[in-house]
Amino acid sequence: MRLPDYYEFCCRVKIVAGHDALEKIPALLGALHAARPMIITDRGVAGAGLLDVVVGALQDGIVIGAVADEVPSDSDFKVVRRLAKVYQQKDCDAIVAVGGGSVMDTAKGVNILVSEGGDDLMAFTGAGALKKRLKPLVAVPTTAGTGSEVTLVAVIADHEKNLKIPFTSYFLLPDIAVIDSRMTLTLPDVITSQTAMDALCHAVEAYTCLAKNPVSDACALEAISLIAGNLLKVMKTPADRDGRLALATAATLAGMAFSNSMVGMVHTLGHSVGAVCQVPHGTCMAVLLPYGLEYNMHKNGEEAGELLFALAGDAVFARTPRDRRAKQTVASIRALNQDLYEVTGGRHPRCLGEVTGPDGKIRVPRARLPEIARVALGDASIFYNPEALDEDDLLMVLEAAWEGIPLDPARIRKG
Amino acid sequence: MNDFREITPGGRPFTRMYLNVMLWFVGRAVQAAARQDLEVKREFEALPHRFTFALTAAPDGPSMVVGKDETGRVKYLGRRPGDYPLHVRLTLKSMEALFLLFTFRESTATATARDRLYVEGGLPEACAVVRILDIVQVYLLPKPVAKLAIKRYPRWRLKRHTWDRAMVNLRAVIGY
Amino acid sequence: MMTLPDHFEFICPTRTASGLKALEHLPGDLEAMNARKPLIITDKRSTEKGLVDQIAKAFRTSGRTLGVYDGAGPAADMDAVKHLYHLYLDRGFDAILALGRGATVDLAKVVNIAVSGRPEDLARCQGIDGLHHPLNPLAVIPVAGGTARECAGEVAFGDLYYRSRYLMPDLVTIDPRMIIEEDPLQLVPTAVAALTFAVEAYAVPQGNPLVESYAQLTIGFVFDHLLDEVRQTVAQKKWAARLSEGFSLKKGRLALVNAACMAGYVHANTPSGLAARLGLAIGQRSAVDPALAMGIVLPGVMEEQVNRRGWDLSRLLRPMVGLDRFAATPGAQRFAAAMAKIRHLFNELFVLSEAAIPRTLEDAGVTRDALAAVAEAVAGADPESARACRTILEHAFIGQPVAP
Repeated sequence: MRLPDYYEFCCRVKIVAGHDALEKIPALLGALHAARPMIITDRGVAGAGLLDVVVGALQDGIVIGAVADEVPSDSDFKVVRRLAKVYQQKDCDAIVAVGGGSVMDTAKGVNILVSEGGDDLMAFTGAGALKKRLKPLVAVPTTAGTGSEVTLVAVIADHEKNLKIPFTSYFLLPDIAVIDSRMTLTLPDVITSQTAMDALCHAVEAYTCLAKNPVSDACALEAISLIAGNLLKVMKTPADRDGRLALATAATLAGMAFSNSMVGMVHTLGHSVGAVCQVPHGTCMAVLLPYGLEYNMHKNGEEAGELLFALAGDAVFARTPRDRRAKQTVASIRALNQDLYEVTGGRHPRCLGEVTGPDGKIRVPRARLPEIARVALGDASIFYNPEALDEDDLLMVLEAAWEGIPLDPARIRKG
Repeated sequence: MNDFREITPGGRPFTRMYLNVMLWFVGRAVQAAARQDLEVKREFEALPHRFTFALTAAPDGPSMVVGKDETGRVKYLGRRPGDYPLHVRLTLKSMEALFLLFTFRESTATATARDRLYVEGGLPEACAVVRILDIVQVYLLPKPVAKLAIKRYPRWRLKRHTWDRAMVNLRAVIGY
Repeated sequence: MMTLPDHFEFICPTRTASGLKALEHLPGDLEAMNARKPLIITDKRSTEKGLVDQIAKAFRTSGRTLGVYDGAGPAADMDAVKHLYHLYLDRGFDAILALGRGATVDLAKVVNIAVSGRPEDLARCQGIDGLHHPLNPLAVIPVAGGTARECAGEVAFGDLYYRSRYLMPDLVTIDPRMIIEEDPLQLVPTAVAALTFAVEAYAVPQGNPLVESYAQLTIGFVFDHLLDEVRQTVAQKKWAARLSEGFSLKKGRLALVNAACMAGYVHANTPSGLAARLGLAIGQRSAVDPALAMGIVLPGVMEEQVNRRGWDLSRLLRPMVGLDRFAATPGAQRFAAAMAKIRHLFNELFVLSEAAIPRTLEDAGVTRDALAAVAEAVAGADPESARACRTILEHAFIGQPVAP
């Protein structure tokens, strides 16, 4: 057990998980003195029939004040303001957010407006702008990946000014995260692998980057072993309820870990690949994860080696000598990517060069790598990476990840 | 009852003085480096028109403000962040945290990792500010100390390590 | 790999900050909870040892005024609650900093119930889940030692008893400057109580991953540091050792305080275990510290449950020995190895403390006759569990493992 010289940990969210956790929501809201929730979700969730499941689970115990199922994937201030009006008109007293990252962010934004009043979200940006508890917010994640049910950040776009505004406050944490296996049971295979690799990446970076702490370490290891033990199983048997619950729980644990320990260069690069070339976040994470570990290995090889225990199990860990464990960790992640590549018939890419769009064309042209590296320099996750990275370093890593070859140790400049 | 009392803790005049001197010098060194060092110059050029940033300690600890003027010249603007519209504000949670930073017991990366430093404003610009401050620290500090303050000590050409270093320090002292 | 239960829940509303200059974050952290005038509730020892002055120093430059009440005593004192209730309201305090352990923190929590609502709430909100609203901001600043329940959601104050998530502190600030306990044996009961809460949280066939994440930390910190702390301070009283300790942030002590705090979070999320109940019952019927009694019966309790219910609790070994030695130990040996580790811990403490810390109930001076009464008190009317308790106690009397 490592105890850093200083650390902070906070995850105030009540976690309620299980195969029929949704049915607990009315009682949970009752304990928070709420009786008329507004459900916020998106068309995808409604179309997949998940909204009906949630409504079915809720309506026996509680009156649903309103249902808004039109959150777009790039939600913005306008949507937040509109939904806040609906909430007030329908006299709601709590929010149940059902969906992925965009729905959660929107719901957090709506919660600011309906709790604080007014319609000017910008007044609540910046550290310490929120000072008191908001209305009860229940988060029901439908993708086992982002962990936004336990994070204190909401990023909301202002499309008029073409800005993405981050809101950060402990008061933005949902009161309750309800993890129900039914919510991810019908997730398509590629989305399952992308989101699981996103969660894996949260956990691995939380464990190996600068802001690690004992609590996030414990959550991260647990998350990694749940993903390693269940992902391929679920890919082969999508209706595996226990496996789905394990992946969803892992995503929440990983979310708890990284929202306290933050993430490093895999996210630095991944955010930029996503922003410049519109590649799904989970795909970037899956491809780049081995490179983040390789690049930092001279700094955090010990920690990276410990991950082998969670990734490959105690038997492999015991028979791998200490000094080879970190490399074996990287090999296990590459092997997992290879397995996912095979089980999805090549739709889960192993390198950036293999990422294709719906039209079958290459999504990340090699010529754009320098641009990606430049954008990456402006991503705050770079602070938390153990080794320093300048533009040349970022480009070197991107080139290797594009081709899918391991990093050349001689080209890693060690600080 | 004599079990109860109220106390109003005082200030920390000496720490404040030390930090004020340090920030004053670092601020002027940023201004000097922007004129002497190519990399810092380029970083500033890439930043928005009239870009201004502050480094400060909450709630009203010592501060420094640096910004570009109308013509793009980088200037140390003093120690009152309230007087300027800021693009980026780096805030240490307490004066003690700033003191840890300026006694080189914690680097900016460590302070961030330990939740002692928070950033308001544009993140890409904030990243640029941290890169600039890292370079300035290399100019101001002897190598063993600078190694504590940054992640990777840069391999610079001899001229940068000697002539430019001397010039940055000299310019910081005379304020040109 | 663990298998998950079909349903599980967890909550820890507390923010934990631990380590170098943690106290200096307090003004900002209180501000973030909209609190500007905190009242420190503590005892005379904290004032005498300079702890209150340290906190006051950490508030320099914050522009805040602090209230300090250092009259907390070892027993529940309703007059103190009344006095503090009026002080808090009359002088406009808006948060409580509980500095200390055990009864001091309990006093602070009871005062917080009264000032957050109405004084009648003290009578009205007793029992389990009797509180229905968040209370005013409460920060706990632990010192070494205590009950390991300071950070939990439970308060026993004279005849009053409360258990609620709303009693868990909003903030726990662990600072090495507050950890000044000089007698290392004082650390032992706390560490053992924490260990008991954490180990008993594992006593389910399928683990709650959140409970186990915190429980692992408690178990790991106790096994990594308790013996070293006791050994070092008993052996060395030289100035050099003290000086180096001053510089080293007291890492071991800090870890033990962290362990107690995590155990509190675990305690708030799990029902009270058999070892904890047996320990309390033994404490009521003999001179032994109930915390130590819990630890002495702990391995037997786990063995008896594993034998009777056929559970696999081999995962308990992992935090005790670390990943390497856990992986090196074959699965079938792990549970026995874990129980041996707990017994070994007590045997070592027995030697280091020159027999002040008992290994067995016999060492502890419990009489054989008292065992039946303890078993009856804990098991109640259920004959099976009475039999189980008797088996556990008889084995713990002489320190013998409960064989499968």
